[in-house]
Amino acid sequence: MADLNLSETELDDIILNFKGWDTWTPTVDNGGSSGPPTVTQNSNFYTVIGNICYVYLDHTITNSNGALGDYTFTAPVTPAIPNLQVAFYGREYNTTGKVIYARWDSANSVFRMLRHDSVNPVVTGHRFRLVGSYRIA
Amino acid sequence: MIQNHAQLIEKGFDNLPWVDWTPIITSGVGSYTTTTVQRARYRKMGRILHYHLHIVVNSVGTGSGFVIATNPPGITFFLNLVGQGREINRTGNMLQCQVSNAGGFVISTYDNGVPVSVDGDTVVVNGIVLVQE
Repeated sequence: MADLNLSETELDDIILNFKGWDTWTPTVDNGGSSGPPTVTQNSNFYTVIGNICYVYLDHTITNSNGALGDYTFTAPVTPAIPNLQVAFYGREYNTTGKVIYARWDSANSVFRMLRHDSVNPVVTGHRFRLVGSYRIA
Repeated sequence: MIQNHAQLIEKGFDNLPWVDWTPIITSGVGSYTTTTVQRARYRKMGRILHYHLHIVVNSVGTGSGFVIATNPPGITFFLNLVGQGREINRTGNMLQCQVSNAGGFVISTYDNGVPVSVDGDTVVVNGIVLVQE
């Protein structure tokens, strides 16, 4: 491996002042029957520092189309975490104010979002913001 | 000079400082008589800020709303985000903490309820916030 040859000032500039947020467009769906929901993706940001991926999502379900089951979305960078590990927490902003979370479904390569009480989160008009971090390979 | 990966980690990520701040604590409804900030600190890594809040409501008084803590000085958030935590004195309820420039850190229960109602109730929350340049 080649030497990095960074001064500490240069290092500070990279780490403390980096502006490296990227965007991606996840594929969204529902994990149960009917649907898929119609979704407005307000924001999708991620950045990778070392082997940790930090992610932020802000989605509004404009029409559930009768979807049942969890809300699913693909990852910007493939996780290297165990199946069902929780990586995201957030809140439903428009209507309920309730906690939501998302866990990794390695069999289907998607994150599955649920409400804290396991009630179907895919409801017309609901807006959720999630933030999380997870290990990548 | 930083010449290898180990030095990069040591000089970069391991040495990022935790910064204490002194938030003002209020209730969304009514007012607390006495509160204690056991810990309020953050660690900024580029445009990611990790925070930790540990607040004791020693005397609830007429406070009957969400617990609100003011933001660290000089920090502008990029997007509203939510952290999580636990009430550690009495209920053990899971907590959520909304963060915004206008509203500060607003702590409620997992189902958007009031997190403290008895003297001594204590909220502990952690989270990640995206910050401006």
